[in-house]
Amino acid sequence: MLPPVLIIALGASPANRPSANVDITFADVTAAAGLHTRIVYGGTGQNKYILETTGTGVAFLDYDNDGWPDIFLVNGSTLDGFPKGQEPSNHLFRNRHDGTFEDVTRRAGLVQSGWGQGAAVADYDNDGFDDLFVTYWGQNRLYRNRGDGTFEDVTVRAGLAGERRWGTSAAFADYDNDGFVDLYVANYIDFDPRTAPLPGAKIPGVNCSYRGFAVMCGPRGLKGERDRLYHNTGKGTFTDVTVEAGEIDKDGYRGLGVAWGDVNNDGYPDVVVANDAQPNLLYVNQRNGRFRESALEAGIAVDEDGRARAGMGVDLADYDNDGWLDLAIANFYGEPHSLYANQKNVTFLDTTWASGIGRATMHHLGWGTRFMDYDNDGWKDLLLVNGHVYPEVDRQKLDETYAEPTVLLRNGGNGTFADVTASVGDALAGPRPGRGLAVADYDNDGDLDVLIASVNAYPCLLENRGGNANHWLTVRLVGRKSNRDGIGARVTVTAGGVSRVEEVRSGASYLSHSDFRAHFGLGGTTSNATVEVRWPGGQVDRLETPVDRAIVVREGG
Amino acid sequence: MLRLVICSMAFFAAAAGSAQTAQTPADHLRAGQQYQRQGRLQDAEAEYRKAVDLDPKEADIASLYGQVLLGQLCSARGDYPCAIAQLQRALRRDPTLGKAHYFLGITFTLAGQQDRAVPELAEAARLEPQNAAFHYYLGLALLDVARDAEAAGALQKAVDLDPADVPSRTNLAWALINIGRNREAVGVLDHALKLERTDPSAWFLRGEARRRLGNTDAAVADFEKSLEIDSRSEDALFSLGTIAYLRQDFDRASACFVRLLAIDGDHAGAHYGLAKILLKQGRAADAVSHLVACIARDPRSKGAHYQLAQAYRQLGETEKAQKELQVFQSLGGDANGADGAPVERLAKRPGRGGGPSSR
Repeated sequence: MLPPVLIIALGASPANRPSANVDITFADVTAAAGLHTRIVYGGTGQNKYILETTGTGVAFLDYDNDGWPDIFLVNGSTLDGFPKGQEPSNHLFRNRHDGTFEDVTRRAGLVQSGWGQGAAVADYDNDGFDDLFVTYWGQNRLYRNRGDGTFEDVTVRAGLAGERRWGTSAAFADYDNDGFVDLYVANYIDFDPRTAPLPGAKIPGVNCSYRGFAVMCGPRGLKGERDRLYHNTGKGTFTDVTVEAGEIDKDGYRGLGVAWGDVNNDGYPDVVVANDAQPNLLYVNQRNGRFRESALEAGIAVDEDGRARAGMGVDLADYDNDGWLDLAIANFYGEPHSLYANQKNVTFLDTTWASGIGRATMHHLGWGTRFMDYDNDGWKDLLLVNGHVYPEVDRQKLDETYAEPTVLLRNGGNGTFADVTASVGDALAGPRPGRGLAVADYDNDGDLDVLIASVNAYPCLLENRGGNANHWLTVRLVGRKSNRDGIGARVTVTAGGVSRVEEVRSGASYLSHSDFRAHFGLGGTTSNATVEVRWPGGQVDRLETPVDRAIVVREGG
Repeated sequence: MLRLVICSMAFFAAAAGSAQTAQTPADHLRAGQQYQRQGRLQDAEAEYRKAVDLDPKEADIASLYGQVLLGQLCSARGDYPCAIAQLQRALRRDPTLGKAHYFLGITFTLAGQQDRAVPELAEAARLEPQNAAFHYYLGLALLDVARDAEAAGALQKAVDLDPADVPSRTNLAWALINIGRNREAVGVLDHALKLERTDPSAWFLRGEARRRLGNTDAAVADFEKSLEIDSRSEDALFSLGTIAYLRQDFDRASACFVRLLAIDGDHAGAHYGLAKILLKQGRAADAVSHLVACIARDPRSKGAHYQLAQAYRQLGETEKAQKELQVFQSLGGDANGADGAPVERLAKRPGRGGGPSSR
């Protein structure tokens, strides 16, 4: 007996549509959508400190539960600051369901300035409304969604105040499967402008030059800051369990990207951390509230030559449709972005070069990283947002530039990816000094759209036109025993004899959060799809549904 | 040996008299120059020394030049302390002697004191800005101390002053590659190859610049041309093997590395490359022997220790694998230097010979 589900039909289902190579463009609809907020971050033309380089993130969240993804933009600052009342603020945009957005920041109580970094989303108190966590160089902030269109800053009440660090990416997951999502916050550098070295400084071991010219110092030679793991008590508060949970990030690496995911399919979320010019970390959940760091043995800490790359963005997804989560990490210019195939035994095979990712990304400095099936052919493609950290490169006659193209790599279904950026219109490529990246079907037309944050630029909302020529299914989970968003739940959709897996995830990419809804491209399949949801608490729900639908699955029916 | 070190330095007109009748510092200087032209370097050095010794108060300009030429010859026969002492004495007397700074800079380079070479050669180039050789060797010295951007500037001046000199162009390209200006490097090398089609280093460097630009097909063609001219070019073979490896063409990569080992049986990179291929082919036991050979040559190779751990793990030898991982971790963090660029500097540059004459 299949449990009852709420099925929302969003589109017609013409049969016999193409399964691949559909004609798709990404159209820049930023202005038409009303995203008129310029992101401010650091210097223009040159940077004095590394603080000015990391940029900001973006989030798709459905804060008003209307089934249409809204947008949250994190904003930053400059070293000179701003007159009181003119400081750049984060922004919340409500989806009007007609392709446009309304700026509701003030009404929502989310006006906040500072060196904003990233955003993470989850319903931490299981009240049915998604809350927001925003990282800062400074005090991170937790905003509780009151459910009436407004948020309250509960940072102090939740026990997250008082620790001023340089938070970057953050992500929620229920690591102990107690029904309440916990929080991992990556921290970058122990940075203090009063003591930080200046561009061109000659300090042994500290990078203050690039290809012979003076640039902001770091990251090499600058002390990293320890990440933090917070356990959700279930009473609206969090406790810092960084040490008790297994000496998380004991060496204080320079963390930039975080992705939770069940890499060993044991029903408990593990976590991958991308570190800048230091080994990446993989914390394997020991199912007893503790984690074991296993990146080196798993083969993802360093590259095959033993070199730590400059990890930025990170994402986990099953790109080879074998039911196991694979891994992508964006790296620095001159390093390939990394792709790792899960070997089903807590080890990964570095497929960077075999997949074609290496050749396609060697000359990009990557940040936002997201697996997404942009053409709904049933294979997850890879979108990589790039942009240099040194504005000064544009004045040095180098081959590299500050603004870099965003790259879309299409999954060939045979372990290889091809750069198809040029085939989807000019808007996606940019170039831009990109940073944050989030993905959602914001217009609910059945294909995945893209939101990119760049440094000192307007955000870029890119509407996918044509991706819905193939069939699709979108699954929104509502947990009951499990956490409300179903974060960590494994959704398997079988259609046309092929099974595809998605895991509901908070955070990942870089400083960003994508829509919670699991999106499945189904290619040319027109027959009904079977949906299986394995909830974090162990409950399994199964149902059957027509394709080209957005459905909601409630835990236990 | 640097060509210019043994070239003559004609401060004076050719000697009119005989070396046997020399009495004054000037006479000994002329005699020394005559011997030097005849290739009788020991006799020349003796005469220069007499020119110097006859003027203990250092009042005669002939003894000044004697000091410079004596320093030059000391340097040429590898007596660097003698060369440095004479040249520094000369420069104390007249700091505007460009050639003395130049010889002193070259001597410091030969003595392995690159940091001290740079200011001397920079001063020589400042004093004689139209001398292409001074800029050229300044560029080389700057490359030696990884000051690539400055090296590119100096070498560009050498090229401007002597556009037909191929070594100036190839070394300029080398500097440009190291600072991420690969497109410019390709242009410089295009010109160099118009001047000299059979310079294997120019083909190799153009291949390297093209490889870094992502144009690997063209890079392969250039590396193959370099190899065609110099069938024992280790750099070209290694690059071809590396590209083939990254393209997953393991047969071709293996062939390159095996050929490389036939030239140099201890080539660490070739052992390492072969080991990685063998590991991917599941031949861990064979990989181990290559990795051990690589480590014997380069004990601090993080990659080799890391890969050796993987090999032992494949073989089920977990203790050995763990030990190698510990060695790997003990080798510390990032190998990058003070500059933030992750792309490795070229390990070797075109031959040190050649270059424009010091005239």
